[in-house]
Amino acid sequence: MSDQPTRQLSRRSFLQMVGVGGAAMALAACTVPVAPAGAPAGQAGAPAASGQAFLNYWTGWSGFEFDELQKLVDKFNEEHKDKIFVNMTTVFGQYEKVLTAIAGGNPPDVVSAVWLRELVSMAARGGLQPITGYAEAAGIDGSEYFPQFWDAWWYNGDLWGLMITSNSQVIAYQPALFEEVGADPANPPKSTTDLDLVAQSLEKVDANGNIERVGLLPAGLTWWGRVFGGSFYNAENQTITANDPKIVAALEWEASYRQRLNPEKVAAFQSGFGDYMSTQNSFFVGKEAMTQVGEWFIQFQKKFAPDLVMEFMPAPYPEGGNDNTTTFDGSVFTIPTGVKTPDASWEFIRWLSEPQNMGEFCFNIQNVPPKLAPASEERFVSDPRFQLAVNLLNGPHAFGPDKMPVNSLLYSRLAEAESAVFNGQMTAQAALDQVTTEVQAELDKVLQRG
Amino acid sequence: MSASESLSRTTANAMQPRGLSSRRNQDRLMKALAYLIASFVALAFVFPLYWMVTTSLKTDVEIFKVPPTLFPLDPQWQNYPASTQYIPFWQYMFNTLVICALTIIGTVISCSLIAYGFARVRWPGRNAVFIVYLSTIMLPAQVTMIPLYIVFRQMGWVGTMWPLVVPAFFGNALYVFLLRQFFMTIPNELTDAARIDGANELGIFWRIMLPLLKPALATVALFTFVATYRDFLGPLIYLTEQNQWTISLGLKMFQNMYGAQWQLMMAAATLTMIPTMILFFLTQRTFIEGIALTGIKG
Amino acid sequence: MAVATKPSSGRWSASKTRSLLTGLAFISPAIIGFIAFAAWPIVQSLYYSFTDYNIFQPPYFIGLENYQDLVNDRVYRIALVNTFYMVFIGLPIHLVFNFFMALLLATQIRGLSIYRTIFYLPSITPVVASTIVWLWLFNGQYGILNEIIGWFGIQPIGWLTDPRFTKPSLIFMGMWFGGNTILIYLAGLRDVPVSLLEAAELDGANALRKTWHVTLPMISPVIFYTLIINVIGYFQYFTEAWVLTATRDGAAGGPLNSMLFYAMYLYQSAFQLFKMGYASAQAWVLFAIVLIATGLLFRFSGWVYYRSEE
Repeated sequence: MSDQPTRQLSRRSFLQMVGVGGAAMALAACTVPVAPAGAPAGQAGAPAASGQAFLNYWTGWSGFEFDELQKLVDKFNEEHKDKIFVNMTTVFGQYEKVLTAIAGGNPPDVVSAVWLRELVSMAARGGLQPITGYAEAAGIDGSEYFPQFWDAWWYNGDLWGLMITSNSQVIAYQPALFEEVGADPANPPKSTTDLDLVAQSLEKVDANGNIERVGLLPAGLTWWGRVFGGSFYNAENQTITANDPKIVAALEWEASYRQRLNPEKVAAFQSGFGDYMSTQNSFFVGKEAMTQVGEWFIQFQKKFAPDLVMEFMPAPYPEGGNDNTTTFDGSVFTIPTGVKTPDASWEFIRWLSEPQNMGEFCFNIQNVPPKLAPASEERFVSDPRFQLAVNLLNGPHAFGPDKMPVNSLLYSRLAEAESAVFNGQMTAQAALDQVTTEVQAELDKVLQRG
Repeated sequence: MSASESLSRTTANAMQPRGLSSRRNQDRLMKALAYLIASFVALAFVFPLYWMVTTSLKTDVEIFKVPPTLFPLDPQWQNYPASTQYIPFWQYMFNTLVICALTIIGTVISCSLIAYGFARVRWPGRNAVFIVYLSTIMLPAQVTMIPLYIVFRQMGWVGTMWPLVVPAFFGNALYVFLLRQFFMTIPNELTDAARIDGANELGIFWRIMLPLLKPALATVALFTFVATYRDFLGPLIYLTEQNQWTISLGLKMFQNMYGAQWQLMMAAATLTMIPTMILFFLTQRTFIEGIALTGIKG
Repeated sequence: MAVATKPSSGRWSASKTRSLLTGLAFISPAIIGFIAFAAWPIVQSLYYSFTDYNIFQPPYFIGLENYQDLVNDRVYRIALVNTFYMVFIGLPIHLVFNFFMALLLATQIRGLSIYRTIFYLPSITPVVASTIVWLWLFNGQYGILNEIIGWFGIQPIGWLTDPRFTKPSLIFMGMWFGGNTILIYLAGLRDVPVSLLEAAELDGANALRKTWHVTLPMISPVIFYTLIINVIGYFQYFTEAWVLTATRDGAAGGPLNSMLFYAMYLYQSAFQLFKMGYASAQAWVLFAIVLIATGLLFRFSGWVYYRSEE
């Protein structure tokens, strides 16, 4: 075989190959310009009037809550015809989408998929733009809001967002079960000592130690730590204080319930809980006589256990602790850095914050409106349970997340500490010391760079 | 499938009657055992899916009954129409299929070319380059997500399906590797003869190799289809308008912060699976054909 | 006599250049795609790994600090160990199981096409739906798994709540999702030349010996493929564990972080703790680990038998 023909063939084949590669590219390229990015004109019901601002609003709500909010957005679009059009998309609270878009220079115009506890984290890192000036110009001075909420949105002298919904933490209990064990349902326990007694008398354990019913399985240090009078952060000297003796006491007290019932049995018992949003919710089926919930639980009870009598009580507290304690979190409406029409973004947030609008949405999803007037409306507070939730938020012991930039880490490490202590792997003191050291190290790093 | 057909092309003929009677008995026993194991495992495999389908026919109350009901007490067929109304189901299915079709075309064309270059053309450094190419899928995608997003934004593709589709036209290391392995199992005699007859590489690729590799290409098409239709992250990041969404994003709409409309979600999930299932059932022979070497064996 | 493409030994020749150009032409889509979509993001992420990058503000160079921090990160170590568990225990179990399933499906039993469809079905189920169903099956109280082991007098197990059982539970669940691997093995089995098996049989080999001496070598290229691909995949194990353990707060990892895997911690670092630089460092360490692992597998791939290299 001579060399010559082979070479020619290969040369030809090389050219052909390049051709194939080029064709693939061309195919890819020519398909491109069909649909321009984010073009409002293609949107159903979105008139592409000139001068109209088109807002992409990303929400963390999905499912039925999304549908309720969409009604409100439609109303906004109707009222702002030819001026602003809001296109709402759910991001299911998937942070990567929000963060990638902001970092990639293509931020949504309004985001509410930001938990209150992450507001400062994002503000301190430059992800949001302050709305202080807008609020001032619109005459929003916080007087309409529950004072703790208004305060929670401020950081470094600026206002970073507004909430249109909020939650309040309470304990739900079943009067019928209280009566069964001789406790007075009209006077639920006020102190943790009383709670211990009632809870214990409500516990049902079979001969093998398998749990059939509990009084309460207290969990969640961010709440109980507050109830016990502890604090997680000292803003003055920027110190994490997760090993505050009162928080250690709270964790030890939570763990005492597991020790009494045997941690393994508790885990097995809890793993048998039915789906939360169903008739098999452990509280509805009587596996828990008391459970930690928020005011939104009322709608689930009405839906899944309409015949069940359920009452709310504030968290019982120990000596030296806080009475009528509640903690709150929630989705904050914010404007990311780098949006094109911040005025329009603000107009949307402002409009949603109008009492009747936030009231309507809150009522439909059974959350507490963060403004006093709508929260005091009859449709909300005619239910004494809702009234209690509102009162707690309006009281002196309503705690929001600490205003520091590493809350996500703190919360996840606290949850880890709880599970380690419940499983008997660590003492409460050691676990919380560890949390304190680790979160402090991270905080120092962030502040030093800040 | 006829016995002679199976004899000629599968390993199973090892278990076919051989003439020796003891061997025949042994084969019968093996076969019975195979049935038993296959049925048992199939039962276990089908159970989660059975659960999904029965859930789709229950009421939201019955789903969580204790003890659970094996059969829906009163089948809720209206869950199906309800689930296709709860989300724009057909729109999402259509979007998904468009993305899948384009992705499959791109993947099959590009991967077969690239794999051929790595497997059948002997060029200096090809193994080193192959490892480098393969290594691109070893870096977790989370850390290249933001720069990649910037690339697509500069191309003006954010908010379109192009970031999900166009890269497929430039190969996927997973499938290039798979096809490379199959290319490499084809003996050289086949191509040598063609070379002597004066065929060039592209001709050999197109006329000899691709037909042999059809089943493997079908497998790549199947894998691409399933991966694309199950992909959540890509559509989540790049599709900004809700009417562009794919079905995997749509299914998330049944969930909310506290739980989900499980019966509707399962109905929708079942619906999405039916076409794939039928297609697989009818075409499965193709996938497992292997690269039919009938012409050269023996 | 693979003359045309076999490079003549020794010095660089014209035919070598030719084959190089032909090879590059065939892989040109990969080269173009790499330059267009991969190169810059990869270089960027390497750069991020030497910076403090909080996603919102420009990265700030800090040298090796992220890598030093990894050494002392307690939770990172947990994630690393869990991931190795999955790679060294879960992966072999799954591959062996899938191989036996493929052998089973290569036999001539009636209704084979139905069986094959059944075994592939879990692989085409939408992820959310299938993991949710598993969450129910694993449920301690009304879950069917505890019901079944109860028939044999075994005490209920906290599949996803007891840290001792969580990873085995994930591995157990993973056996359902091997459809792709089974298919690849099946395709490979179809290629085993009948003549070889017959020859072995004539030599008096039993089924086991035939499998070991004929079938396995002949399908070694596809076994090698599944091994490499799954090593890469299992080191990045994420989706199932995330969906099963994610709480309403967005935390994930299960009891005592027993289901916290490398890619999950990486994700949390990047998008929940706003530490993209740190996450990038984790990614590049993982890259190095996977590269070494696959490099070793390639280095010791003498057992893989390619007919084109006869």
